[in-house]
This record gives sequence, C-alpha cells and structure tokens, in this order.
Amino acid sequence: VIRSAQSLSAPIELEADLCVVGTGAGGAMVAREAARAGLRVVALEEGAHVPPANFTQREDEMIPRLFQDAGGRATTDGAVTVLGGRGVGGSTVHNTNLCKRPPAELLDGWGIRGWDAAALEPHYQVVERDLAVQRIEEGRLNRNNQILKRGVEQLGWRGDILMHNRKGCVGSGFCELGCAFDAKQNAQKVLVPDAVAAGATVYADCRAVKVVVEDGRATAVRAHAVRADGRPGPTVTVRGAVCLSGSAVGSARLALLSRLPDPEGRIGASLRLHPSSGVAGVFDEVVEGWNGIPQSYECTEHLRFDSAAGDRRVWIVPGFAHPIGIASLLPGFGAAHMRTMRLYPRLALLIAMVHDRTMGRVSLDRHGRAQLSYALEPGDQEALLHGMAACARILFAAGARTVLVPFATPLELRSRDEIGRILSHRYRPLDPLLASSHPMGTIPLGTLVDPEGRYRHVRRLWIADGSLFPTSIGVPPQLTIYAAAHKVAGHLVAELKS
Amino acid sequence: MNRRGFLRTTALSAALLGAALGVGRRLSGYRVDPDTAQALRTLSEKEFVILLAISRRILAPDAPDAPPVGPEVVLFIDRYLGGIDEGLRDDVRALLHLVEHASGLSRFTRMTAAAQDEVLQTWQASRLAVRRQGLQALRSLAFFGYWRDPRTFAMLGYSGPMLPRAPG
Repeated sequence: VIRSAQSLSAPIELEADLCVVGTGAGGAMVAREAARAGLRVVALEEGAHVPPANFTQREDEMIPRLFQDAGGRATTDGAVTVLGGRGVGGSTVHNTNLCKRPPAELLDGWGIRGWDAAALEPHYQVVERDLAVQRIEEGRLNRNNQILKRGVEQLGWRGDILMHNRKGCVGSGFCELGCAFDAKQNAQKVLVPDAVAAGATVYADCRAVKVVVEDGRATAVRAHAVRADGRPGPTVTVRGAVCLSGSAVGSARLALLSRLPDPEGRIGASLRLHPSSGVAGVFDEVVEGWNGIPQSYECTEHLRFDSAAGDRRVWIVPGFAHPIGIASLLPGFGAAHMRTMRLYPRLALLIAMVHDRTMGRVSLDRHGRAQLSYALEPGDQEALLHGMAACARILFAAGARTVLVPFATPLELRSRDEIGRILSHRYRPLDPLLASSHPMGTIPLGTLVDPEGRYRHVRRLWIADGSLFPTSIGVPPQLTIYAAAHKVAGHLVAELKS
Repeated sequence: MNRRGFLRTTALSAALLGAALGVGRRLSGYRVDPDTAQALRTLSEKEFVILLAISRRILAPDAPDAPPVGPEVVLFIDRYLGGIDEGLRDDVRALLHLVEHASGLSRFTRMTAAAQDEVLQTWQASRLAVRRQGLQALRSLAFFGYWRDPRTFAMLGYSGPMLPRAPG
C-alpha cells in the first residue's frame, strides 16, 4: 500500500527486513526486487504521492509539487539550477523518458569488478524489458527535434534518434510536468505498483533524518511525517537493514546527517552535475517546440569518453520548455526579453550538456540542509563553450535567422561567422546560465561503496542511486540508475535472505 | 556555505545588506491597498512594493496584448515563497531591500523606469557574482509570476494546457 504519513497523529515504529529511503529509479527498483524476493520492505518518500490524474500541465502548479525546493534548488553561488524530483517516483515523474546506456568504454573504465559493460548487460536488459524501452519512431520527431536532425545532417555530424520508456504517448509535450496520460513507464507507474503488489509498504510525505548505526550495523531509519505546510509531524521509525536511494543529493545529505563513519571525509565530495546551457535559434518557420515529444534526437559528434577527449565532452539535445521555463532559459530581461518571448512559436532550443570532470561537494548547513558547492573547472568551461558553439552551428545549418546565447550580457549572433564570439567568451558563474538535472557521484563505488553496493564502513547498509557513479556518465542517468539498483538489489537480497 | 551564507559573507554584499536593512527599517512610505495587504502571506507591504517595481522592469509588457504587471503577479510570488525553504525565503527578502537601498542615491522604487533599467543592467553584468545571482533570482520569480497567466498565452501564440484548470 501507499500511505501518506500526513495522516499520522502519533509516532509509529515499523519492523522490516529492509527500509528503502527514496522511491525514484533506484529506490523503486530495490523495493520491488526485495519485496518480490519475500523480504518485508518499507519505502520512505519525502514528497507526496501525486497520481497522473493530478498532473495539471501547469508549470505554476506542478513545479512546486514535483521538484525539490519547489524548483528553486541551486548551487551555493547560484550558478547552476539543480532540478531533482520529489514525490513517489522521484525524478522519473518529471523527466523526459530518455533511456541511453553509457558506452562500454566508460563503464569498463571504472575498473570496478562486476560493473563493466558485460556484467551490467543483463541488468540493462531487465530494465529495458520491464519499462518498455524502445526507439522513438522517426515520424514522431517534433519540429524542434527535426531542426536538430536537419542541422546535424547538414554538417555531416553524428546523431541519432533516442530510446524512451513511454507507451501510449499522445505527444502532449508536458513530460516535464508529469504525464497526465500516464504514458511514462517509470518508477511511479511500473516499479512502485509492482513493489506494493509484492507486499512492500510505501510511506509518502515522510522525510528520513537519520540512519541508526549500532555496533557497526545499520539497524533502523528515523524519519518524520511532512505536514502539508512542510513542518515536521510525528516520527516514523523503521527497524531493519537500510538502502539509501534518495538521489545523489538526498542520500549524501542523509549520510552526513547520520554522521556515518567516513574516515577520509569522502561523502558528498565528488558531486558531478552534467551542467548544461541552452542556445536558441530564431526561425522563419513555425516550430512550436512545446508540441510533441520534447527530446527524441541527439547529436553525439562532440561527445567522447576517452581520456584525451579534451573539450569534446558535450551531448547535444533539444531542450524546449513551456513559457515559464523558456523565459528562464532565455537571456536578459525587460523589453528585449519580451520581444524574444514573442518569438516563442518560432524558437528552437538546443542544450549542450557537459560530461563533467568538475567535482563539487554536498555538505550541510547549520540547519542540516543540503548545500551544493560546484565551481566549474577550466576544462569543463571550455567544453561548455565548445558545446554552445556547436549548438549555434547546428542551428545556423538548419536555417536559423539568428541565434541567442544566454550570457549575462545576452549575445545575439546573426551569422555563423560570429560563432567565435561564444568561444572567446570568458566563463564566470551565472555567465552563462546553467542548469542540471543529473546530480551524481556523491557516495561512489570504489572509495565508499564496495562492488556489491554495500557502504564500506557500515554493515547492512547499501547505496542504490546515482550517488554510486564514480564519474559523470555523459548520458542521461535514469537507465543506468535503474540497472545499478537492479544489480545492488540482487546482492542485497542474497545477503539478507542468507 | 549555503546561498544565504554566500550572500551574507561576501564582503561587499554584507556591508550593503546591513546598510540596506538598517536604512530600510527606518524608512516608510510603502503602502498597498488593504485587500492586497491582507492577502500577503510572506512579504511585507514594503517588500511587495519593491518586488512589484522590479517585476515591472523585468517583464516590461510592450503592447496592449501583453497583460500589465499587476498585484496578482507579486501575490503569486508571495504564495510561492511561502512554500520554499526558509533560508531561501530570507535571502529573497534581503535581496529586495538590497535592490531598494543599495542601487544609488535614490530608492529603486522612486527612480524613473530608465534609471531602474540601468540598475538592473548593472546587476546583470556586474563583476560581483552575488549581484548576477540576485538578478537571476529576481528574473526567475518575476517570470514565474507572470508567464503562468493564461492571458499571456495568446500573445505568445502558445496553445496552453490541454486540460482545463481544476475548479478552485
């Protein structure tokens, strides 16, 4: 069953074999696998359970409900807006269903037993089967994606149609606000119901605040209900082994709050973000990028995974949004910004996402809130600007009349001859504006987590979310998080059943 | 360091913020109509007036088909701020005082539109990251309060949500 802790009027204590913290791609997968194996599972979710019938397609209503910090989370210097999901299903509720495996080169390069591409293959296969992952039909590319494809083909660059986990998609284009048509084959629709059917209990509106460790073993999770006004309600204690799956930010925060043994101070210390920036093209043709599947084509011409990749570490995809989102992505303010907004139906937007090497940190402020520090290192700055320049080239090749670049002083390019102005720009925080939807790497395999997903310094404690990744992975992480969680779940079940 | 800490420990901003809050508390002259005052949940009347003035310059409706930036824009932001982290909320409130009292010899709300634009331009391109951060925060809030309005959809040529808005 899925319960809301808001209905609790008094503290409760629950006995379980396993308490899973978080119900996104990682947590829902672990909860399902453990429950199916016959373990008593309780999953805690900080956010609410918002069913598809309550997805209203309105940014002002859904962003505060579906995103951490009501969509206002950012790095401490404000340079990177960090979007993370909140609610049953986690970020899989608001993502755009991108399912892309990282190349074998990256996974093999981790050098961790059992995490090379061949070893992960069966886990990817399970995920792709259960979540109905398939290639988008070419006829379903919307105009924004067609423009990317056209530009890539004009330039002779490498690009392809993407794989998605959607079934019965009507192309409403509101993916980032939750699918009111329930077409996403995600944690919320597939895995959480599977887990519940297998006997798991899910508590929504329930914030974990401490992993209890006794004699070197995780023995319980302490949590409290989250009231409608955000204030803490009665405490919830779940006794059992523990799996942290609350995202790279949430899991690191809970580990720090719990003062887990960490002799070298590594928890939270290798935060990667996949920072990205958008570049807009103004076209004579009608684009109406809000219609149809938002991201269905990619350009991988500038995405390399080898150590000599240099600034060729950028993944390019369309990045259209609804009015509030697009207004925030476009540079400037005032009359000039208003004029640009009036071009909305004729704008195409591309995003350059950096396969980053920068290592930021998740730490706690004095109130116990997560704070994210992240200073883009020079190599990533170069990669970002290189990627933005590549976006501009694609847009001009596809027929853009002008290209708009979100530097602090907005830059408008009138021809491809001016693209060098992007490359000569000197990066500084908030110039250009950056966003991230992929925090990862804060409790990584290798240093803090063993190959079976166990936290090295506490027994009966596993990690199963994007925190695990030893590096940035250069592609959307949801598929790999599902697969990693499936792998960790297998180890966890074997140990707890024995 | 969190965002609030960042704002407060940046040397220049700390000095400006202290001055702004000190001066701000002593000065008056910020009145809103009783209905609006009663509707405010997070912002003070003064903060409401400052944010309305800033929002008008950030949004700058340019033709009759663009809805004016009225109290409802800031009232929405006021409600939104009520649902976010307290530290972030305090940051925003401090930021409003900073814009009002640390933008020149005159209060921001008493400047001409052109002078207000100049202040915001200065913040946008500032060498101080904290000012660029402040402008970005104000942009985000103003856009959130304005572009949610269905009256803006037609001027954008945006078809809007497929689903009707739920009653209430």
